Amino acid sequence: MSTLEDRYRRLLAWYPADHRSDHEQEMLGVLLAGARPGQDRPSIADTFDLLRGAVRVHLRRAVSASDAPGWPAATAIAGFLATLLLAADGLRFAVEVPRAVSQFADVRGHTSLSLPHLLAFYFGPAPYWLAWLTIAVLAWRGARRHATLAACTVTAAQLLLALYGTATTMWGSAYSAVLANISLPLALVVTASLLASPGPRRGAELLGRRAILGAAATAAILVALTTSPLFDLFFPQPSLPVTPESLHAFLGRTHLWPVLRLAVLLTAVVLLLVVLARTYQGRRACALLAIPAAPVIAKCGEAVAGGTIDGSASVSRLLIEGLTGFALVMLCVRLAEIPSRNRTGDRERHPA
Amino acid sequence: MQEPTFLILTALADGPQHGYGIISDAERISAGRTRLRAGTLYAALDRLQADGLIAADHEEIVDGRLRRYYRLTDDGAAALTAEVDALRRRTEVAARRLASPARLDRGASPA
Repeated sequence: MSTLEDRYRRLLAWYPADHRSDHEQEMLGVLLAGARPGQDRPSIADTFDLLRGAVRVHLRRAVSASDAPGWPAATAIAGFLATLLLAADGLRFAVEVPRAVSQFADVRGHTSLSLPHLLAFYFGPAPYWLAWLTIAVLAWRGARRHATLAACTVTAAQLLLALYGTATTMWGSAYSAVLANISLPLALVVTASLLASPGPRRGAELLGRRAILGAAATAAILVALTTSPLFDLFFPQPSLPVTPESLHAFLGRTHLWPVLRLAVLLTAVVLLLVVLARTYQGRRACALLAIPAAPVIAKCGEAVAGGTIDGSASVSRLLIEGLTGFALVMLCVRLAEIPSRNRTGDRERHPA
Repeated sequence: MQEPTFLILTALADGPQHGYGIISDAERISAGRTRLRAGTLYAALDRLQADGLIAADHEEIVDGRLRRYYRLTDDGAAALTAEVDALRRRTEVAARRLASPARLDRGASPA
């Protein structure tokens, strides 16, 4: 009798994992109850029927993926964290404004570029960050429909401008550097969470206060490491007059900057995994956050390896790296979830 | 509504049942013509549960194995009632047309 059960189990292995954890025992009960005494192989009709059932269950899950347990919660959590990172990025812009103002004043005196061009170059992203501030406030206050509409509009505009920027040269590339960086996939994740999940506010509730404070602190540190005031603090410019030796020493020291950034980034990723990996929706939230994280990690890694920070940007490269990151994380999540499936099987084989 | 769905809902209309009970009941209801198999049954139960037409009722341990009972929800009863009305109207139309004098006259001619 056990060989028939093993054969049925092998057929049931084609069903999705969560379906099996819920129903494997009862299905085995039904199959074995309907078996003839002394039968040791499933009938051909039963085999086809079980496989066809597996296809149907998979299809239903794929078609109504938003009903699948955990993905709406995962999207809500990822949306909240992405909003936090966007807010930190906006804060970075605000922190850089004084320096931008002084540079603008310096350049203005002796440049042939017109005032609108200069303003756009130094302060162009300001409307973008103001828009996102508005969206964050709307989402926090509960005005979900307005927040969703605004987020869709701003993200669509950003995507179009970024694509235009990467397609053209000169001024276009300045826009693409601003718009087609990490803020684009972050904006996509936030917009998705407003559209297809209970929203970032629910994500905040699911995370809890401690996790939120930790995430905010980590985001602040990550962003601080991209600001010039902190860079000047760590690496004061060599005092005048500049000699080749002091310049050489200065450049040698500044090589630590990308290394420091990569180290903090990887630490943040590990902390994120530690906090989220325990729950089903937490793991999937990590996969969604891999979409903005993967391009950043790739860029930081390049900076450490190559010694320079590449200012160029490309929408297609962003999306490819982001989706690859997502696929890799989901693969690891699936692999990590296999042992719990096997353990359920063992428990059934040896009922207490 | 497909036949397995109709049979499952009808089987549960009498009270909560477990998987094997639904299969035996379905065979009885269809007068032996339809034999539900486990794969079809559980794919249908999965879909009906997701649509809210049935729900898990209670569980028992029999021979060391879990046995789960399902019950019809109010939505499920309403869906089954609607389907029964639709089927009844259809069968009435068919029966009326078969029994109509015009058809009997036509049928009287040699085939």
